Amino acid sequence: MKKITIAFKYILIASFLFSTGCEDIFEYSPYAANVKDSYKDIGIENLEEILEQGTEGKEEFKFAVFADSHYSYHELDEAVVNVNSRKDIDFVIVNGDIADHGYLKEYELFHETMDDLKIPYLTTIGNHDYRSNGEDVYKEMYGNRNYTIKYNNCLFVLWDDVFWESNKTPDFNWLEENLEEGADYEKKFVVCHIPPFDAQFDDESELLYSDLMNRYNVNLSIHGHIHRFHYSEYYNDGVNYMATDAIIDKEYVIVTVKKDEIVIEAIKY
Amino acid sequence: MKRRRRLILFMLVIPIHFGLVAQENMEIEEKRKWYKPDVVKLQYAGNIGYMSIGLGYNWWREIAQTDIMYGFVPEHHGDAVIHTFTIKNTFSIYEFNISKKYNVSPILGFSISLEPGENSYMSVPDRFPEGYYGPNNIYACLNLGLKSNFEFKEERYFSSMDIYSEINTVADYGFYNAIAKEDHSLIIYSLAIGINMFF
Repeated sequence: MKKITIAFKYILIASFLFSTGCEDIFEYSPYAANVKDSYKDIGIENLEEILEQGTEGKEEFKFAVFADSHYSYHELDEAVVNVNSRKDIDFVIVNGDIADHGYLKEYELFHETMDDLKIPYLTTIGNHDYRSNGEDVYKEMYGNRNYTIKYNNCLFVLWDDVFWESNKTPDFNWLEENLEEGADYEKKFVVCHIPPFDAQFDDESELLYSDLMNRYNVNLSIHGHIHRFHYSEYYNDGVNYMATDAIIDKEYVIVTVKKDEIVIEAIKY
Repeated sequence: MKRRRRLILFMLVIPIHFGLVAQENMEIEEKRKWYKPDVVKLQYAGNIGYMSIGLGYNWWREIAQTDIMYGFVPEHHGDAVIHTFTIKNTFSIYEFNISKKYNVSPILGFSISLEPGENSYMSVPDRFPEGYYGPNNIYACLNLGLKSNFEFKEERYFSSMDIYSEINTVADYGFYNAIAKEDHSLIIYSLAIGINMFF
């Protein structure tokens, strides 16, 4: 009888735990990709927030670029504080490697830190974000790996260019179609984690990418991955390539888009 | 709000152990052959599977227990079933004898798990340059909890059983939290519950 009482108590407590919807206090594997409801569709919400800003006709605007935060949550938090202290930045782009092992928990910790940001942020997927079941987590939290946004008569193409970890060739057709469709925009930015001069691009892919940038008059090709700041007209063809240092080095970049020029500023904090 | 609820739930689970009642009598244990396991273990959650099952051995005057476990996470918690093989070590810190045949012990331990998944590996696949990544199919967990042990009146297959609950984290999460500025304890810790059935 006493055994039944004991078993009943445990069943009662287990039922209580489940009935209160507390499945989130049980975790099954760091590799599980069961994104909790409160973390789903963050990318879509942020995108809508940027579009709601109603920016058409602004003389100039600024956006910040973070990259390769991995598990540098302390430095990421400081970057968020730094951006929040400024009033002139419209949105942030986090250019890949927001996770390290691709664990769901790394994505959660990333968003918990970014959630303090007072302005919306967009993301691209990086090579580390693919590891384990990271791709599934990324999709649930941030949506499509390839998407575009039109802001103040400028086109932003955010594109997945991960080769090795994704086990596929990036979708160059999608990239070309979207650049072609957006050919009339005043300025064009392509944002992808890996720069074309990195080892993940073979010669053919590098040539294809740089040719697309050149052919569609892309103003700035924005990257991360190499963990150092880089800004140059890499192929001497009129297209500027920029890479952001890793967040662990306490550096991010502010891009100021003016009518006649684009100003790049590496910010140490 | 969510964090507060999580904290309350953790606090609720621990005292349940002290509310359990003792059982009676224990047969004198026969000397077991060294290779025969002492315990069958079943665990829910705790980052080693949705459900995991294993066999274990007691050692160090029964203060320590080592279990070899298999766990799985069903498909609806991701895009594919996750299989996990774990060696789990648990140590009883102290034994509170609530009555003659019933005791409660704080426990702590660690486990090492292997996940032979498609996108995880011990050594990097050929498409990566050598040393590009370290292994990502092995991870450690840390556990702290409480177990209640009570003995069966009549020994048939099992002489006694533990019911335990643990607060658990993956060692990497603990490291991330240690180097972060903000405290993310209520995100990185989760709960596991389980039973040990002793032969």
